[in-house]
Amino acid sequence: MTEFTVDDLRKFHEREGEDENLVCPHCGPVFTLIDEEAELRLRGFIKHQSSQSDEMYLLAKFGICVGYHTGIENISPYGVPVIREDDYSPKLERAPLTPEELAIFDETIDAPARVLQPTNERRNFFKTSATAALGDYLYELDPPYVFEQFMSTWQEEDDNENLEKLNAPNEWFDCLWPLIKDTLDVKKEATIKENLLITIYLHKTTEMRHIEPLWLFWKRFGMGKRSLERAIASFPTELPSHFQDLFTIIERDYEPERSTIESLVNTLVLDKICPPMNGSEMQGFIQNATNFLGK
Amino acid sequence: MKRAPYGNLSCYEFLISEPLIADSMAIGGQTLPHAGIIELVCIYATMRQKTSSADEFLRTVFPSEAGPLWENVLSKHGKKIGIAKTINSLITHIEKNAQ
Repeated sequence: MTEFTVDDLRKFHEREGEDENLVCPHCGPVFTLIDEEAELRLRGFIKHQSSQSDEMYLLAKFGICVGYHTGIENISPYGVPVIREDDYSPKLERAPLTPEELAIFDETIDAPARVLQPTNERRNFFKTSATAALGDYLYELDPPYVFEQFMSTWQEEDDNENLEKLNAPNEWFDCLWPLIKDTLDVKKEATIKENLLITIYLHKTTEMRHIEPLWLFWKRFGMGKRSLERAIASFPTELPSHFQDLFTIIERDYEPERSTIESLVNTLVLDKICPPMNGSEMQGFIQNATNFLGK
Repeated sequence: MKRAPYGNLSCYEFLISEPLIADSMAIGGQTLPHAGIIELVCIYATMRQKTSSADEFLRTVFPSEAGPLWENVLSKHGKKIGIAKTINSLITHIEKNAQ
């Protein structure tokens, strides 16, 4: 099976010209955007420079951030051009806000601001990429996850609760997306599938309490030793907070017990490593294994 | 396993007294969880009661091919569980010494 690599993804972005993810060079990914031509001009910026462009205007191809940039020298008082996320260096420092500025910020926090989130298109693109990367192995995710043929994304404002009722709580991509978007920047050597499988393993073990030794899981997805090494190397040295949280939870909550034995027995039977059992046989088997643990 | 003694510890405490997963199986300095390993021992101990399928089970989960994946995943301490003689001795010890 041909795997969908990170290079393929980059080529896709180049070809399709996907929506840019933007950041303010000083505020980072959470910023207050102005990107309408007229508004920009009022503040002395333009989106496109031509031979007739007035040199008085500053170029702001993607718009400007009009957040608080106090203490930063050599910038326009009317805003800072936002940049592509790829060009963002979080090392750019800004002066800490004074208490007065913090108070103003708190008051205006409800004002229309652009909080950079992956767009639905980006999310859907990654769902398609992940689905393609897993191929037929996608169906190995059930259990503990399920597949929804149609996901409802329509909702009244502030009606997340009802949306959750519409979609299964264990829909695979919904569960994994918060983690996947943290590691979209997979290192070149690894494939999306490899990176994804480690993410799935951690999530299903921790959040879904779906217990399975790592090597059996890895083999179940048709993967070998080299791919495991590459997958592990594909993660950043400093883990995103979602991943840190998973490790904290597993450390705190995981201990072998009846439910973890039951989970593994079910997987082993499904995978034909354990012989098939009817309901009462399986319950008896799980009880015996639990008794052994308690001995 | 949780009650049967092994020195000053219970067998369970002894098994988890050292990492079961190899140091190389870590992301961001955190070793991946050893989920399912103790459970495998319990399941195998139960399967031993039906001798026909227990051996095959052990060979499937801990295959003896050259350089198997489980040997990469497990630490030196953890790998002992995958050795048929060791796991069988451990189970026999637990069954004999359960309090």
